[in-house]
Amino acid sequence: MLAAGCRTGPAVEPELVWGRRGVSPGSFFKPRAAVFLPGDILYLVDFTARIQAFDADGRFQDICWSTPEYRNGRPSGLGVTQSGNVIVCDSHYHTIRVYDPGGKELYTRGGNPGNDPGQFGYVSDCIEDAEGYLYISEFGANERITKMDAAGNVVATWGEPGLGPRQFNHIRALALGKDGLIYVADACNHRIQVYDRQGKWQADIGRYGDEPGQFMYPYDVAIGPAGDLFVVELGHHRVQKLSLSGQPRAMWGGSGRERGKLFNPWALAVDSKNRVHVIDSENHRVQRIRM
Amino acid sequence: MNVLRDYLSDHWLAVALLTVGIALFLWRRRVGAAFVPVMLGLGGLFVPASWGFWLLIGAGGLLTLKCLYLLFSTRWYAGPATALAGACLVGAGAVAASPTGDAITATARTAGSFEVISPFWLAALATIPVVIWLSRKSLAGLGPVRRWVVVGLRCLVIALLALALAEVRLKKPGENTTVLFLVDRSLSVPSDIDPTVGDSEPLTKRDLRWKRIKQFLNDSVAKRGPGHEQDQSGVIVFGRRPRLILPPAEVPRLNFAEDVLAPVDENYTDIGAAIKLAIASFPEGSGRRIVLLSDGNENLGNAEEQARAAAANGVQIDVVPLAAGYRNENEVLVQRVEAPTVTEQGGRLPIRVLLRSYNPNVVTGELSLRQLSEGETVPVVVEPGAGVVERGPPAVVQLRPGLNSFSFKQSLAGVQRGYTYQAVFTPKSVQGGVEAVAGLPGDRVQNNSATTHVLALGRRRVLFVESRANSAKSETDHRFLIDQLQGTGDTKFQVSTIHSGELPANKSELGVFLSNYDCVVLANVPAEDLSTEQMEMIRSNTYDQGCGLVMIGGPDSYGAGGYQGTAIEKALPVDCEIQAVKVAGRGGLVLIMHASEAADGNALQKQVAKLAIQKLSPVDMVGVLWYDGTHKWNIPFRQIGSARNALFQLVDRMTPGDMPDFDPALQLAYLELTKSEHKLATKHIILISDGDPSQTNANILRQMRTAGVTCTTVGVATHGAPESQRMSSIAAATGGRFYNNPTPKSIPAIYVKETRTISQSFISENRFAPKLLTSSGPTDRLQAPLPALYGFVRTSLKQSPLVEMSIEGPSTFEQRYPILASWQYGLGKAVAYTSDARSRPGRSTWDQEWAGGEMYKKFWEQTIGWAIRGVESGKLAVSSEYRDGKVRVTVEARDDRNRPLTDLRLKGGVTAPNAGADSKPLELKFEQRAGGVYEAEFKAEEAGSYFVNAQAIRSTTVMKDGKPVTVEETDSVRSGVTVPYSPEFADLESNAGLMKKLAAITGGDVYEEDDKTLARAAASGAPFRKAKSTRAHQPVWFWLVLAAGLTFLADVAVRRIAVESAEVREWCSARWDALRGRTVEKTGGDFLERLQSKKSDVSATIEQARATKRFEPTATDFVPPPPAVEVGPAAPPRPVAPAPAAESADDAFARLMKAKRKALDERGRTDEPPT
Repeated sequence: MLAAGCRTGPAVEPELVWGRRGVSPGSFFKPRAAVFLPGDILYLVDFTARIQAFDADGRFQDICWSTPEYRNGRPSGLGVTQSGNVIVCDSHYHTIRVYDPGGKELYTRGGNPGNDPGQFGYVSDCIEDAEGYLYISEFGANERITKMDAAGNVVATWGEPGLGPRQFNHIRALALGKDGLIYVADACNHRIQVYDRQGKWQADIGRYGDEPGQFMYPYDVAIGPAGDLFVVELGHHRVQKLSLSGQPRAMWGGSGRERGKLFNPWALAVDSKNRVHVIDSENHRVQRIRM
Repeated sequence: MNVLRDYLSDHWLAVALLTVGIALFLWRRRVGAAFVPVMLGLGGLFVPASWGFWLLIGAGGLLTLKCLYLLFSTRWYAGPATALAGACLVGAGAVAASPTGDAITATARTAGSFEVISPFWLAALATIPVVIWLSRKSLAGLGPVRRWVVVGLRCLVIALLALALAEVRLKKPGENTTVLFLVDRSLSVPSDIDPTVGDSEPLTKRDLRWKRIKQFLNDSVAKRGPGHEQDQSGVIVFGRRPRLILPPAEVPRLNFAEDVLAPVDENYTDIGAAIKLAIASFPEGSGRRIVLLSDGNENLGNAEEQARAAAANGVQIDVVPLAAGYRNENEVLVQRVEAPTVTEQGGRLPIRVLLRSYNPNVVTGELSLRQLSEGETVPVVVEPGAGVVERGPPAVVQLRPGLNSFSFKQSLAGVQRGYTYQAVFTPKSVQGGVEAVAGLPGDRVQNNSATTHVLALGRRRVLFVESRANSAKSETDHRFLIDQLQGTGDTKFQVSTIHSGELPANKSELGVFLSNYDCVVLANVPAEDLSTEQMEMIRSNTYDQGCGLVMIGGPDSYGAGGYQGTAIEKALPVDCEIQAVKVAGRGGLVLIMHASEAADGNALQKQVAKLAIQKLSPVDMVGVLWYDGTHKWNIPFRQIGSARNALFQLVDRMTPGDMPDFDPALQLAYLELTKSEHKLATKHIILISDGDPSQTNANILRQMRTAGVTCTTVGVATHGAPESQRMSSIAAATGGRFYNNPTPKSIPAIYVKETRTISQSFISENRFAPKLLTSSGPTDRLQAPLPALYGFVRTSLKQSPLVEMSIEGPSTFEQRYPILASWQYGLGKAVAYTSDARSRPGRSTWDQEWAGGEMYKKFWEQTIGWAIRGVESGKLAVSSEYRDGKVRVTVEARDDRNRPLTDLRLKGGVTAPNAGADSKPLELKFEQRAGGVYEAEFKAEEAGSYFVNAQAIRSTTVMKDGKPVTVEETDSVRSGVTVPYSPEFADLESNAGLMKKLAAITGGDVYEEDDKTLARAAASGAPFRKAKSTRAHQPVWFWLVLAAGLTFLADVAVRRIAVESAEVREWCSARWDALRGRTVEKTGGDFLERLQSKKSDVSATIEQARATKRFEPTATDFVPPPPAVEVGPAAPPRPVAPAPAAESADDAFARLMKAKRKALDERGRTDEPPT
């Protein structure tokens, strides 16, 4: 694996490349978000609004469902609750939907468009902390994060649109670190912002650039079991591994269609064995690497 | 017997080995020669494979031990070793003979299924005899065996290369089966409503038939059984057109449900098209089967023909006839509304409505007939008669089984115009015995209404269309011209003015509306005011219906109005495109495209991008920005020039990605548009998006505003107020416009509007003297010079001999620009006038010197008079009737004295309901059936209104100035016929017969549509049973080239490396003796001797071969040379070479010195070099 400092990443072979373009169960078209449920079952949502489950080796688990309505747009964020249910960010319907692992809808949050607390624009990602609070990110006119309790009451909201410090420009994803902090992919400001769970800013990681530790449209963040921060960049078609303080450790990918290259990757997920599953969206596949 | 045959066919290799062994024994009389084949054969024939395996392992192990024992002890027991080797061979035969035999059989079969793509390369095989001939000569020294081996290898190299070049392909038999399920979604398939489910549920939840179909498909795939895991399955749903919703794939489950259904037009059924799509969708190299689920009622295409094509392609069709034996007894339909095809002024129009009831009982319901005309609806009252309970309106009527007729009469208004009559029947109750049942459960509403059109015959009426944007209702732009045309006294025309937005949007309504007029004038109407359908109707109204079309210019007309590539442009004698002109300012447009998540969003984006590029002139500049991992140019900012088609291709290749933010794209666009070298007069951006991307940089918007870069935003499927707000604020900040969630249909008009004003090169606004080229038709009796004009729209004259340019504008050296051009377009005439007609007292526009002048009224009367529809004298009577999918048009022609006119030439035109400008026109060929009665017929497959026009030409010879002159008289007549509803709704029972026929043609099975049969068929895996296999064509050229390379190496090896069998034998014998610990005798001398003798043998052979070829003079051939003739002093005697001295052979230096001395002697020199 690469020592930090290489521009486009080494030609390291991925461990496994899988996925078939299609609309039948077990195949997908432009997957855009992914999450691991306990037991290393990977849930993906694709451009046909289908949520499907696979094991870490890409074997279809015969679980496939869709959100109730997707003519206006498809879900683009997935999360997992502490109890092992799937959170689906129904982005264009301003709604969080929570399903059991088999695809049965359990409850929803939000649903109303707007600027008031509890109302949402484009819902991009959602995470749940150990205490059962949901953190919901959205972009559009509301560039903000909403903290909601288990009953659906808004506890706090923070963030505003802008290019400056503590402002957001297209929040694409959230991740909860082992340190209890929230890592926010501030995509169009090309940085990761770190907040505590009360919404207090802690740090910025990275800025616009090509070098390791710099980003171009970071679209997803994930925290590995070893406590590393993984970031996938849409603009550079690559994945970076960093320490939680933002020190670059490794980098992989590059634009392309061949194995080991990525084309507009939207998301990533890390399994319990610290293997990174990169959602190579416009190659309609998943690549598994060890970084 | 069969058992024996099967056994032998499975074990043929073992039998062959045994036979070879026995033959060898009989020939060589040695057991050793036959040992191997006999043992292998015996094993293959008599020992089961599992025993053979253990025998091989056991005997092989013992033999290995024995070899190890030999290594250490030098002892060897030949008998047991032979027995063990025999046992090994028997085991190997048992294990391998049968599979090897199968493999050889398969290979042999495969070898018979090669396909040659370029057979002419096989001609290279003709060089083989030449190679044999040449090689035999040149390889004589190799000895007979090696020579033939080398010759064989060379021939093989040539053969392999020839086969590779000929592109030999292997036909690989497919082992899997692909099943495509074809599901009929048309409305003729009756629902099987589950009474236990409430009416509020969607039909798919209430319809048991749909559930049955779904279950059958899902079960068939899920339960296809072991061995079929790699079989593929897919689904096509069809109505008017088929759609492949689940492409064939190797899936464990189909999950076929409502959410995968794609919309299909359910008003028609084209089974043939579905079968055709299925045949094209099968993957190569697998068995192929279609499972067709339909009621068999096709009304488009030809399923039988396609089934035969399927059979020819090896595709079987299994069928499930849906609702077989079903007959709808509750159906009531409005069969026809009958009315005279043309209005007669002042009379009462008799109308008849025919209803057919298939119910055995009396059905009571409401029947209403409405007259529609120019936006007004008037109810018509039924005449009293049989079955009329209340006259209404609406009338309450009772229907008996069979055909029921009701009459209506309508007094017509004073103004004669065209009408549409619509009859609607609403069933209320059925008298079943004593009790009345409310409603009719099986009745389909689609066939409960019908319409007919009554057209007005020509009264020289002119429809003057203006743009809504350019004129208020009271004050129109062209008021002065209209007043002049309508002027009192000697006026020829009745002019009606309308705003473009008031034209009926529905195509058939527009058809009826336009039938009231004989000439349509489009005065400075921009293209975005008219929909594609309206434009097509206006075009067809001229081409097929013979109505005149005049387009009057202005800043919103022709190219400046965005008419490039439209149906109306087709009708005009000019093209709206122009060649590049050198003008002061040019326009710059950047399109920013963002992926749309709306259905077909990307296709729409491509469409609008092309539309925008089309509407610009060649001097303008365009660029398209999109997101593909980075913000980049799909079309780098450039002048359009002559590369428009290349730009369209670039657009076609674009797949806009999800742009994270707008700012970089706006920045790129701003930088390009503001580059000073482009010298852009207008700088515009059109951004289309769902509003997802961020726009945070307010600075860029300010910069754009300062530099005059406008940005119009089009929000498509935005996700709410915030997104719309963002798009809106970008437009507001830059002075552009914002379109919030326009319908997909209206987006093209937005692009036309936004783009057509960018171009600065279409409009010329300088005073010029128009040139009068001809004085006929529209310009008859006009005198040159014409007054000056102050502007016009640049167009190009159409390249057609029918086009005439009467007035020309200021030409540049590059192009001539027409001011007035005219042509005959189909049955009608069209005129293009490219200057304007907006001047009036107090307002001066381009035609300020024309308006009010002497020639003004004359010019416009002549122009419209030339274009207007020919006479409709009423001597021709037309009737049209729809029956069995065809419309028959009958024209009866009589002269003033009611005598039939038999010498007419009739031309016809039809405006079809859904045809476009590029679709094949319906042909109307009239033939005279009886005296003065002409008939023509056309196929009317689609529901809707057909407008028919017949134009009669009669040539008569009259004497003029004492000379016979041929004069042509024309007359025309029009009619409309309506196919009220799709044939889909005329079918009352399923056509199981057709379905069974399709199965019979292709050798497929028929499954009855009941739960048990379908469940059994699905569970038994019947749809996935082994299908007739097809072969995949696998290229093998690379293997052939590899084999040729290896063979060539072998050829070199055989020529260069000589292996002596004696040497090998000697070596083996020595090794064996060493193992056995025997003293090895020195045999090298013998070997060398043998080698020497062999060499001399070979030399002798070569010499002998040479001797046969070389010329050897014989004694008898020898002829002594002629005696020498003295020609001068005798030549000095040649020094005789001294006899070889006894000097040592390697004394080279001495030899050199001697040679030098000799040379010096010959030159006569005496000086000795120092030694």
